[in-house]
Amino acid sequence: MAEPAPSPEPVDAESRQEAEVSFEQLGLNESLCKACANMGFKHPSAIQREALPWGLQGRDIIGLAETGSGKTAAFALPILHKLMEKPQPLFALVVSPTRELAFQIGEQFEALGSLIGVKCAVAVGGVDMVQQAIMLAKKPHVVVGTPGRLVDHLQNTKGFSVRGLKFLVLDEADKLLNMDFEKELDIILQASPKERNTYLFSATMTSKVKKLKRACLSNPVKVEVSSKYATVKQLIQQYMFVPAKHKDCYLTYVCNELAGHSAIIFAATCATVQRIALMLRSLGFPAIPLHGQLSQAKRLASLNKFKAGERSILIATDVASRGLDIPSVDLVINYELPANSKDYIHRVGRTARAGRAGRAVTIVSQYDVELYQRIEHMLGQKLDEFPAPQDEVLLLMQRVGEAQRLAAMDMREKESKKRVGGKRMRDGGEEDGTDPDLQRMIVQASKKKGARGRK
Amino acid sequence: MADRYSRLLSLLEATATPAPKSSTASNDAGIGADQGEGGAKRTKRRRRHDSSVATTASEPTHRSESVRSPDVDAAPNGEAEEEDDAAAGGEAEEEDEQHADEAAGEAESDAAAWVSKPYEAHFNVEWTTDQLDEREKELQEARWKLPGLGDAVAMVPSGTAAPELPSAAEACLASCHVLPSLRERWSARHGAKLTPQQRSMVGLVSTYRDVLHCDASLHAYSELLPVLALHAVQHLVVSRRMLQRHAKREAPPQDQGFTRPTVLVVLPFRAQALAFMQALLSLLPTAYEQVENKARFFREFGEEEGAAQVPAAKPEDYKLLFAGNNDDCFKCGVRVTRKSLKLYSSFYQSDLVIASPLGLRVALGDGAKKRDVDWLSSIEVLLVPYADVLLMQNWAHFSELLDALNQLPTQQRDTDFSRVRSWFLDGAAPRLRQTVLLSAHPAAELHALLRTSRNVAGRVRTRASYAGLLAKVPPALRQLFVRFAADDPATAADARLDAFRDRLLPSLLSSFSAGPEGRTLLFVPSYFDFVRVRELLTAEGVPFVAISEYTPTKQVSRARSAMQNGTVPLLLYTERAHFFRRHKLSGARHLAVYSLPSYASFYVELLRMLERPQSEHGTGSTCAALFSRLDLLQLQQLVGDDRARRMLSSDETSFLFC
Repeated sequence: MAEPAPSPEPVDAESRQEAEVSFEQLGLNESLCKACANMGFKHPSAIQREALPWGLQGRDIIGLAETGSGKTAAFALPILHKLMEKPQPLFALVVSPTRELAFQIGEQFEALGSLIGVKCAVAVGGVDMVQQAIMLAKKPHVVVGTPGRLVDHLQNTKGFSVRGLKFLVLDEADKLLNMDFEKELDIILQASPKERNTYLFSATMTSKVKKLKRACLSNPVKVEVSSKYATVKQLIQQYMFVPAKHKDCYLTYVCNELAGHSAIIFAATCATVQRIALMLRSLGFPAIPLHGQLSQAKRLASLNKFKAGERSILIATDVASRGLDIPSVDLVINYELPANSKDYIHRVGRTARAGRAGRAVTIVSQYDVELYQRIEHMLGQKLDEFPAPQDEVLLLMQRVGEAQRLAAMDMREKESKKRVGGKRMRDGGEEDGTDPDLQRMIVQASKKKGARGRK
Repeated sequence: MADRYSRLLSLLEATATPAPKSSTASNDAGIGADQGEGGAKRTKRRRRHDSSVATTASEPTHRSESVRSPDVDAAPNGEAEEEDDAAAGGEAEEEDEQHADEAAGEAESDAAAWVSKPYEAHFNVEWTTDQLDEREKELQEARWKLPGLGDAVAMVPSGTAAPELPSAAEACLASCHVLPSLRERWSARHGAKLTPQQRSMVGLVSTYRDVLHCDASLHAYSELLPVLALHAVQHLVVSRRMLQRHAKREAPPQDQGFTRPTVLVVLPFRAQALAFMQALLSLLPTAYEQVENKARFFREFGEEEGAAQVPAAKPEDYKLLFAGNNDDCFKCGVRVTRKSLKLYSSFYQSDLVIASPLGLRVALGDGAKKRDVDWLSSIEVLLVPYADVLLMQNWAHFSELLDALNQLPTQQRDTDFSRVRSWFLDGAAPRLRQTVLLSAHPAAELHALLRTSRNVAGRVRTRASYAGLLAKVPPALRQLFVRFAADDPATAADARLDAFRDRLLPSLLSSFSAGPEGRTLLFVPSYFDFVRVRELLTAEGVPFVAISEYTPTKQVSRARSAMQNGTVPLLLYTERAHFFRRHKLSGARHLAVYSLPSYASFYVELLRMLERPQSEHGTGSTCAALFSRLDLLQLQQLVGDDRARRMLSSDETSFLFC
């Protein structure tokens, strides 16, 4: 079995070219280059190389790039560069579809701007409005937010205005549109001034995105790094054709075979995610679930544990398929096929990022054949089969069965607990739609930030 | 009663409202001469306004009866103008002026006349946390001598000297940066000279430092209350005018808090609130032409009709404090607009709030319910005269209020976040808030409050020196002071109870055997101690009656007569009961003081109540008091500074004064 060793050395022609250009050569400000070096960016990635010069020239950009290609820095760097030329509060507004992504973008801005003292505020739902209003009133240079909360502030927070905005970034525009944020985007676009730069990033170019492009960009440069629906070259994609009732067995087999690598397992529903997580955990795998039914705090906590390497297997719904920047995933397993073949691209896009090698294994049961074929058709290539000798796999059956039972019991228990305590919990905790865990976390984070700032 | 009310009104009529005789030039010229160019321009506007309300000007007495209505009829425009301003200064309220350019010119000259240097230096700075830390570190202790207020300990930026101010009101107030129009009002109302006390107080408060004056007798308030009112008016007028000026700008700067109220005045009773309001209204610049709801205020805060008068037999200080409306649950918002003042505005619409601790407690709601304390988020000046009375009322209410002060708001409250000052956003409001405390006596609570103050402008505490009251004690009275060891405030109460049981109780019990000769009044200031002593006495089987602040009237009279008739040898009495009722207790021959009173004068009052023996043969009256090192503040007032020091450092533990 050919296990491609993650090679730090660039191999193909494109990567070699990468090595020749530096941030300095692209015309980027000195202290920003230093910040890049501090963050471990040696050379600009493909999208950065393409987007930066245009950005520095002050053009609108429409960027088509797969996730993990260094997209955030591709828009953050020109914005920070321009900000240094003419500093002003509320210089840029970044709209992101998910809260997690918003936090990540915020972190990236702060990290890149740490040397020049950039203040960044994140405005997402689930957090106290007043605290956020105070944060926004402190005149941050960059505001990152989810559309709903941004509109809430624009409409209800007196004194918050984006009239002076110089940059507007719509990240993951296809997802923004898919999530029915069109109305909110409209309001944000109307609130921002006509004379601004707009960056629009999207993994895919749907018709809706095109419409948005026409609506809000003027004379944009199209920056495209990968061809449509293509996956990265260093990615090994494989499939397993298995009987549906032995799916868990095969999953365990794959995890076992490729143990030691960081992996994300994608499933379709929250319940499945929870069940697999419990099952794998009882089999002794360091698994951790991430899905939409977890509270914001738990979601972030799961993600952080995974990022820190405490748990090497993340089991997730499509929540995690986009935007989350987890650089070191070696393996993506599709436990269930995505309903939408474009989502497949996003899912496997979690691995083989930034020039590294990666592997994606898709488990196909007898019911998924048609879906699977559609994906192969879209990719335009036939995938190899992941070698899994049946007798070896079925050896695991007894232990897996045991773990399945335990997991099912656990789930049932939690379910009944929730039913008993559910009402009370809701009354006590999640009043006004704010999430107390998240609130506390953000307060802590801002305190930490404050402490750092004081030094 | 009724004529007292009308007297008040007429008094106010003469002072508070500008009472323009007409729109003649003589009145205007007075202002113009004083303020030069700026004043001259403003007079134009006044004249215009005056003519619009000419109907009212002709019959000024009508105004106080129904303050609002005549103006409403006569000048609907004027009203609209004020409401504009009410919309948080967003709109330029000069819009309905006929000549926009002239208005701009006025704004220019206005600016100079309505700016205060200390205000600018304290509040109108974009303080960062580092800068505030820096300023806090620069504070150094200094000893000042303040005329009229005595010695003072100041924590001020090094090199700051005690304010040396001329005695002429005009010059003194000018050097304290009081607005010209306010200076003029002051001179008109309070004469051309300031007493030393007033001078020092103006010097202290005008710098936005924290102040604790612990020797403010009730008589002193007639001098000090106007000074505090002056400071409040100055703050309100300066900040309102600034906001109005800024609202005209293209991009208004960060110049306000989260919510509108900036001054909070906490007072014990309605009568004091009335006095403060009178002082405040009398100092209002002439530009403020009407006071809305004034009649209602004077009705509700004046003496209630048919209320019982304070009996003539009560001591002088009691009469001073409790005369008039002594309801202790009230609150009133005061809203300042460009030309008028509105009383009874809602908290969020007010600039100044005047309230009692209990009234605030009721308004804020208790812990269980959702508390609404956001309007306290932006208080910049907290004035607490009569702090000693608050200590007697319920200090818990007041400290709860302090905790709620200057917190970040929990709701948006229509705040324009683009205009909120940066240090409010940083939550540094407590570090710029000024707290002014006046008290009749020093108290640990007040000292602690000042010590923990975070005001970066610094703080000043006066330190009165005491000669002691022993000279006022009736002659031939044996007073025994017994010191017990207590170092830790946490265990002091236990130590005191032990000392009482071991060192006072035996002699009390033995004196009871002397029959009615041995009747004793046991004075227990704190109610907590009162409960413990009651328990102890019950356990020991000592017969006694008790009067505390919670004792119903019937039981009080029963206890008093029992004492008088000699059926019971011991009467327990708390300080609060004495403070609020001043019972004249008779029958007791001896006094036992469980712990020293916070009002030292009570000690003398109690001693004077003792029944002196008729003949030379009987045993004389005696008094025994417990004290410890922790009672220094009370002891000083009672026996004087020097003697207190000796009594605490001496090896002896009993001290006898005859």
